[in-house]
Amino acid sequence: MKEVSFENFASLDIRVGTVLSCEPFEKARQPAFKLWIDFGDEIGERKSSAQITDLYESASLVGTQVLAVVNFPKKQIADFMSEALVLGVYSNDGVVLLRPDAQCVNGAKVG
Amino acid sequence: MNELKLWWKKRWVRNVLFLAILAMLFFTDAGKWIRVQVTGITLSAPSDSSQSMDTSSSVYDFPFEIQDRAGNRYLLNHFKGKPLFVNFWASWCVPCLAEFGSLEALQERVPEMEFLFITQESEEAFQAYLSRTGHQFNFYRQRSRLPTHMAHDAIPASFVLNSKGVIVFSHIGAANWNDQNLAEELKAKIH
Repeated sequence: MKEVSFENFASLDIRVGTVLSCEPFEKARQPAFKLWIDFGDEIGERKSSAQITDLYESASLVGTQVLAVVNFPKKQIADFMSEALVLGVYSNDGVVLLRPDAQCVNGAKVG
Repeated sequence: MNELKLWWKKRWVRNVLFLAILAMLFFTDAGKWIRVQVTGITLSAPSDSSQSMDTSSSVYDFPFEIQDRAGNRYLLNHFKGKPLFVNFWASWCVPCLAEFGSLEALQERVPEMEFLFITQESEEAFQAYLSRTGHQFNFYRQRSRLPTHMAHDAIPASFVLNSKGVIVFSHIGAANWNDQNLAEELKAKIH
C-alpha cells in the first residue's frame, strides 16, 4: 500500500452538505442520481452526479447530510455538470453513503 | 438473404412505422402521456399498510418542511387540525402520474381532507411539470428530512393523517383511489 503524507490528505477539501433535491439521472450511462447539495455560505450550492441508486432508489435523500470532495475539477456528464464527489463505501449491496454521526453545519470540513 | 430483402421491401412502411411508434412511446412526452394512461387503467384499489407504520405518535412532532410553487415554506404542522392526505410523487415517475386522476376523484369524495403532493426533485423539474400539468393539486417540494413515520422505499407513497397528525391509512405504490368504499373508510378513520 502506497504511503502518502498528511499534506496529500489535507489537499482534499471534504465538506458536509445537505441534499436539497434529488432526481434520477436519465442521460447517464450508469444508473445515477442528480443531487443538489448545500455546502453552506462559503461554497454554496453544488450539483453532483452520484451512482448510489442500488440502496437509495427512491429513498428520501432530501434533508439528509452527506460528505463530498468539493475541490476536484468539475466534470461534465451528459448535460449535467458534476461539481462535487459524494463519498460512499462500496458494500456488497451497493454504495452506502458516508454521513456525519450527528447534524453538522453545512460546509463543515472533514480532517 | 433475398427473402429478407423481399420482406423488407414489402413491409418497410409498416416496420418503420412500428419503430417510430416504439421510439415515440419511450422517448417523447406524448409517449409518456400514453404510458401514464395505460398504467392508470391497470391500477386497483389501495390496501392499508399503516399497521406497519409508527402510529403511536404524531407526524407533527417532527419538523418537516415543504415549499409551494411560489416559494413559500411551511412546516407540515401548519396543517394541524385538518385531516391530511400526503402523497409523495415525482414528475419522472409514471405510476405517480397515473394515479393522479383517481386522486382528483377522491379529493371530491372527501372534501374535508387537505391533499398535499410532495416531490424531492429540483425546482427546475418541479416548475416545468407544474407549467404543463392540468391537475389542480397543491404541489410542494420537500425541503427537509422525511419524518420516520412516513419512510418509504418507493414512490408513489401515500399517507392519511387525522387532525392530530397520526397516520390512519397508508399505501406504497400506485392505486386507483376513485372508490366509494375507500372514501367511506377514510372518512371513518379521520374523524
